[in-house]
Amino acid sequence: MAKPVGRWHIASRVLAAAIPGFLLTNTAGILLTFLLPGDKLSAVATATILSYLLYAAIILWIFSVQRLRTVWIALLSAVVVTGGGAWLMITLEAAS
Amino acid sequence: MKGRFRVSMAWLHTWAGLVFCWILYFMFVTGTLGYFDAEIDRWMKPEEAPAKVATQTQNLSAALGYFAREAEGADRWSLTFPGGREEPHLRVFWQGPQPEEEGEERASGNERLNALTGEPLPEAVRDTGGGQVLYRMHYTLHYVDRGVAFRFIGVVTMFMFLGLITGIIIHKKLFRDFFTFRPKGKRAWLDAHNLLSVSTLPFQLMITYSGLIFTVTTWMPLIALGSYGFDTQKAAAQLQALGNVQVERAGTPAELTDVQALISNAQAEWGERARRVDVQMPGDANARVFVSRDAGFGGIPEQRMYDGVSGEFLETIDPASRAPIAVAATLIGLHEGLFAGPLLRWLYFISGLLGAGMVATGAIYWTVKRRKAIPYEEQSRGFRFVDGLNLGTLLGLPVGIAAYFWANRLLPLGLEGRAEWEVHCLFLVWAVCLLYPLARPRSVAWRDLAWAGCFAFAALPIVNALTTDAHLVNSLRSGDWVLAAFDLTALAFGLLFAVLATMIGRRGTGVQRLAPATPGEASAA
Amino acid sequence: MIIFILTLAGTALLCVSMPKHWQQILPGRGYARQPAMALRALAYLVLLGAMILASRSHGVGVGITIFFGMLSVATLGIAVALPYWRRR
Repeated sequence: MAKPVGRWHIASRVLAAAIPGFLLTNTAGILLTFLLPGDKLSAVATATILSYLLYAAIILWIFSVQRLRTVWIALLSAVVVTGGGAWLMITLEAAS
Repeated sequence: MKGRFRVSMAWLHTWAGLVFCWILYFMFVTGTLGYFDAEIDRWMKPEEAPAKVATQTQNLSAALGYFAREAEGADRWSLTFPGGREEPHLRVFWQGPQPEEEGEERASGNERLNALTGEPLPEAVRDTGGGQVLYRMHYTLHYVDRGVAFRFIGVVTMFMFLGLITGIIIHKKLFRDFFTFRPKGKRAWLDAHNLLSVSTLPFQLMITYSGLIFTVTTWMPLIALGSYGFDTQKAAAQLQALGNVQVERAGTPAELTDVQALISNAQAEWGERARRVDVQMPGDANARVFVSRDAGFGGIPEQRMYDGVSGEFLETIDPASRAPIAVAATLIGLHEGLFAGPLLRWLYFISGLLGAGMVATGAIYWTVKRRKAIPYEEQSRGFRFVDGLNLGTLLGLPVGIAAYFWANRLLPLGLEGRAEWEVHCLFLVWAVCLLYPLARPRSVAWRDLAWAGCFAFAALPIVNALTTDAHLVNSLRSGDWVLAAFDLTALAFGLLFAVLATMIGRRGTGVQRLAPATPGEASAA
Repeated sequence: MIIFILTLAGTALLCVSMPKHWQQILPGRGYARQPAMALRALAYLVLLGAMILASRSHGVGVGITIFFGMLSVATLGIAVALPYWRRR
């Protein structure tokens, strides 16, 4: 976005940051706890500590991309991918 | 592309910064005063006698005697040895068994003891919230429900963090302009904002991110929960490894071992004095004794667990032995600065005030940049709104805090809910300051409030001298540096506001007088 | 105290070594790259020295925290003093 134009434009981005952006932080965070090396508790702690940094990065990205449609499509697909990955890991761990 | 990115980040910086800037300013100011919470407590309770110095053995037997009298059959006894500035007295806490019936309150007690007599300290003569209430405001917001406030504070802190990152991104010549400050003209506010932010950047990043870490359990619990398959019980069991050991009662009575021996054992192991002792299920065969050392630099202390009957050493509990938890603990420790000696404490205090200054100059710059060459009444509504809040908060809050200290000295001692009225005074005076600009022309209002701040702080030592014996002459003569420093700091703030007031008086706040010093500066801003 | 003086000195040297402030502090003398770079290297050395000294006398964690606090104060002090330098 060069300079945000229009109230709805801004509202849409704020909404994207508040809901799918926050969701993505959590799904990606959960996925991260399975991917990080070391014991589980350490991985959980690392992912949780880094979560705000991740969230900040997501918000900056949301406000820097020019096209609103790109923001929403990319954001929602990222939520689906990371959420799916996290779900897979949880099910795999429960099965083993 | 690069240019466009910067423009969007500048937009985000402006608005993420502005939206909550008055709350951020409030958090910075009250949080910063929290670095001297114990010292402010001292000043606000001038009648309280200094703590008696006692040996560790005396402290321990006073506490155990108290527990035996008051807390027979309790689930938990906890005693904290007096230490440093935070707690000059021996503190004891106990908790009874979980009540049988739902909804019944669990018995507990929390006292400060005279270590020599073993008796609880008498009630304070002067009912006051002290420095503690002032410091807690920066995350409880005082009048707001605690849970709501904490959630809200998390959001505000996130905005602060966004403001910091975008600020770093948009500051084009961060290094080349490192020392730049041009006190004249329109750029002065921007330069001041940049300078305050850049020079204290390590502190600001640390305090903001660690502030966020405090809210992980409120805002980011799903990551830990999800990692354990959203199984609440499993997650809770795992997180117990973080040091919350819960002991089950055996049901057979057994005598508690010699606690002093366990403390000595732990101290010999650490080469450092123990800070706290916890006993779970005292008098039971399953009793456990936990000896903790000082948390030190990190926020989570190491504990040694002993069998409470045989006295046998069982295990070391040290959550911070895991690197990421140690990082979080260190961040929390840095945020609270409990480990800081006088030098570092002052540096913390200064850095915090500069942080408040950073927020303030940013908020003022917003208006400086937007004001047009027309009379104040014709400026846009948004402009007048922000300008009014700036005036009422940036100057009004300090005046309100001074009023809090005035109230401590002037409210009648017998007043019902006195401590709460101190706080009401703070917010009432602040509210008056917020309304004041409605009654007076803008430039006069800025100057008036600055003089009000000057008077409110400079007169504090005088009020103190008129109402108590703990005044500057006495405290200086007896070398009581905590009390003396409070009065001297108040005088320093008075001076600061006087300088501010004369500056505003001389230069005006610029709306009427719009021509900048040189035309070049106007276009640069 | 020595730590603070070192920090202040290091920050001041760093400031002089920058092209913009070089001309402010040493008016009339053109910016010379080589001595400026030498000054800058010296500045970093002095700052490093201050940091090491701080962590020696206060422990690493607390020492570095103290160092950063002092660095903030020193930077601010110099920046505010700078515009008044020429006027004397």
